[in-house]
Amino acid sequence: MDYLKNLRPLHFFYLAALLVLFTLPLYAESGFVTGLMPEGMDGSALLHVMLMIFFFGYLSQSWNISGGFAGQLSLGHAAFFGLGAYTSSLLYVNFGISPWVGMLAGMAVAGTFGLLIGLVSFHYGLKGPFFALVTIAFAEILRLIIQHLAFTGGPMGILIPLMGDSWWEFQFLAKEPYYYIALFMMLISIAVVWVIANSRWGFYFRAIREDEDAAEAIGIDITRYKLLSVTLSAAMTGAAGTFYAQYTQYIVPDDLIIVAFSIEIVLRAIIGGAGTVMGPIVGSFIMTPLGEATRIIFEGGGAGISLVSLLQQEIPAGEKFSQYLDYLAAGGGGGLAIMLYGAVLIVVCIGMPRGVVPWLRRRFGRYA
Amino acid sequence: MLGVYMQSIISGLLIGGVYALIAVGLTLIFGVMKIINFAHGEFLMFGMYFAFFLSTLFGIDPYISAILALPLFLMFGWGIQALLVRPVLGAPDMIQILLTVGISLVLQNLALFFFSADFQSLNLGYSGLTFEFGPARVSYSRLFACVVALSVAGGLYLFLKKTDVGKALRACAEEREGALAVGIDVEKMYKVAFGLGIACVAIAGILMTPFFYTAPTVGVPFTLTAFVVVVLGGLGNIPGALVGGLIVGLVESLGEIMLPVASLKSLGTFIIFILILLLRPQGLFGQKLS
Repeated sequence: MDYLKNLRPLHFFYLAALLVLFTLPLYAESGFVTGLMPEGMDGSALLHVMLMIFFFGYLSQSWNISGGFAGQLSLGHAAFFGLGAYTSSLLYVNFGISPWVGMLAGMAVAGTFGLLIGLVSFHYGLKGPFFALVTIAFAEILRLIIQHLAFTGGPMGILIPLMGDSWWEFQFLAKEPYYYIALFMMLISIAVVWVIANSRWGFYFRAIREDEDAAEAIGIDITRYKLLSVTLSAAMTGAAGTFYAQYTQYIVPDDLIIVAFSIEIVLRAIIGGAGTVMGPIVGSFIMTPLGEATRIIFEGGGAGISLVSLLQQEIPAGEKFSQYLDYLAAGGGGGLAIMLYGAVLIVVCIGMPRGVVPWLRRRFGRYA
Repeated sequence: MLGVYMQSIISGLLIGGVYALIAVGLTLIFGVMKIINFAHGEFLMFGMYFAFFLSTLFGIDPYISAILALPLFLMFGWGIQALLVRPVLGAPDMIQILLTVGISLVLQNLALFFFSADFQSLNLGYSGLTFEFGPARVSYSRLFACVVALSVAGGLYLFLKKTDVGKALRACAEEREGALAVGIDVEKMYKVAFGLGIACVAIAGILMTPFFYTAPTVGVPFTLTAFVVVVLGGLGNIPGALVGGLIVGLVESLGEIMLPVASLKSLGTFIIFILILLLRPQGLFGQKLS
């Protein structure tokens, strides 16, 4: 019964959070919950936001293994994500193979690609910004190739046909099953990272991150452990690709395999605290709702005025300007949501470079 | 057939000159501060909008805007360095990279908000003018862009070689502690370097406005291209960036006619990028990195 004595307020918080998350779909539509939400949102929208939090939490946690713990800054994780999505979708659309099997295949493909990038980069001793650049280049090459192959659907992508409501097909008419799948994936990723963080691997990873030469000097096979971190991280990221493909039922290379998506993944880990077990999750709980909310609030966009035609109109400058102000007031050309992301990223890099979780720990550590 | 290759080589070299100026800005910033500026293309985009609006609203020619841009973007870069980049100079690589990524996101979406996602292009009297050069046709505005870009880059090189400020900048690039020890205001030099780098890329963007569209995301591929050029020439190496720019321009242009699909042209560039990163991360002309 020793572990009972070690229970801390933080553990009760986690237990309560788990309980709420597991039961949320049961009362998401209740008057109490919908009453708390902004006008025009229903229980289904709430489940969607929660599910995106889990989804990005999972992705960011996957990145955390190589990027946070082992310190290998990849800005190409969108490639692993895309490979997972494409592998399972192609297997499903062409051969009717269950996306669950496809998910494993996608993990294998993404993991292999990660291993390959790692093998090549680490063999030639690429570090820091150089490794980041090479991951971007590999992701860009992958996107170009997928865009130009016939069997991947080229730039049009793949539309996954709706085959009905079943676990085997990984397709549901309701949000709840996706909700629980995403929740489980996130919990598994937390468990994996927790185990790694408290194991020999975790110590090796951190030693490599802090000082590669010193880590090598004390006998750590640094190439081997860097490869392990990247491969595991890539494979886990691939699984999220399958989930995304099944949830949205539509994948396009220009949405998936782009630097901006890789940044979405990294952003949450950095904000929450890269190299901590709960950092990416906390980051996702902060950034995902913020992103979704700003998207809903600001993305009205444009009010039907085109800037091109406004510039060409033969009207006095004053009137032009007032029409332009109307255009801005109606949301301009959009972009406020991502602008906010960028601003938060800048503020965190300057003011809280270690992330929210280490800050909380310093501040409130004695209560936990 | 020869004509097609000739045309392709000329177009490649002409755009390569512009790439060179973009990359010179990036490599100067890296050389002096050891920071890779992921927001580089966004300053190019702002340069393009600057020229676009001056021309559309006030009828100012882009080549005049290019001159106006020098002090303006120098201050812009100076300010960004002083406000945002300086606080992370001692931070890990990851934080420095993500900071510039954050700047890039903000600038890109500021442009989206204020200028909308519409593609804008300038219709100038001379935009379509060309002359015959052997079997190839050469556009005047592209030729000007290349010549002016290379001159600006050359001017910067002379500035670094001959002036006191230039020498101080090079001292910071070589040996920060040493520069501090002999009394160089390193913090100030960082601002100068960032300002000059931003001014270079903005001018490169302005030079392209007569023949290239402007949009909030126009800078993204140029940032990647600039990385390739800079890595090819050796990070921090200005003559290297010049040669690298021309090489990348050529590779892209030839790739366009030699690869089965023209839109695959950047594939060749990225493959060169990876090969160079792996085989010669110090660049074609660089000394060995420590």
